[in-house]
Amino acid sequence: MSSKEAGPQPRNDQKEKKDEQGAEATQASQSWMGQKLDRWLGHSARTIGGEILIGNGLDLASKGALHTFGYASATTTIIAPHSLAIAATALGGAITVGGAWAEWHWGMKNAKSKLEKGAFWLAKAGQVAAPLITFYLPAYTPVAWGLYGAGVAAAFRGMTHRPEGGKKAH
Amino acid sequence: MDERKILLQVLTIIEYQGDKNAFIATFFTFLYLQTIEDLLDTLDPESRKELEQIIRNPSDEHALLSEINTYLSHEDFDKRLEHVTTTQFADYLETIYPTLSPQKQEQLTMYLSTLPKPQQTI
Repeated sequence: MSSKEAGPQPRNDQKEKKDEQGAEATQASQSWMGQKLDRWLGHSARTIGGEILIGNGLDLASKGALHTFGYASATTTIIAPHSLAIAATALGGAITVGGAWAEWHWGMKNAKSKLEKGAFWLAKAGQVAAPLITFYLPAYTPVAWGLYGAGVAAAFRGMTHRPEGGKKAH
Repeated sequence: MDERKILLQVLTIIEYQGDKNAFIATFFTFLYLQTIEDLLDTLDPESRKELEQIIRNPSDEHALLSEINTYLSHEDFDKRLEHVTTTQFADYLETIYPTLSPQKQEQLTMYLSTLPKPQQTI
């Protein structure tokens, strides 16, 4: 192999490794979320009732993460298209809880990944709980404390068990 | 530092290749709904049925919130939300940690060990 050909190889290898690693972490993240959605939906769909999943037409737009709520209708059903207006309000990286019909018919129906579909149905389920979420929304600090607590604990474990990382003990 | 930034930074460190905002939004939605589900599970069957009925057929928003408050307290919600967040975030970190290179693990550990304490909000 000439020196010309050999030159850029290490950089390419590095980039590939980096991409591979990002892909592995991405896959692990999405798989984790997929499992959570499956489990949660399997439980809640039975308890809350699929027929009212689109109950209140509230949209869970983001201000911070879950701060902005818009109110639409109390009578829409899972196939009733109240969603165009609602979907329009849910810009900015938000999860749209309202907008079921539009979302579903404009793409979610064809979503390939379990995560996408799971997130969609989770959002729908969010509408049922939206009155509760709205009510409790100002109390956002617990999330921060939860992340902080888990983060500090993970960091501690990371520091004390570096070679194994944070593998679960089964 | 707000909660969203913490997750965003974690995803950046691990070089998450999907839509970070969507992942974060789903994560937080999951936390809230899991919290509500947990709280509903603590109610006796009769109260639970009544509450579900109220949620299904809300009269008006104020009445709805007032009625909800008779079943579930803010304090309980806060406690449960913090617990759910801690548990789920720890579980997530433990899941992704083994997929990271030693350098990334180090980077993530460093970041998590320097998280500032959240500030109380009114």
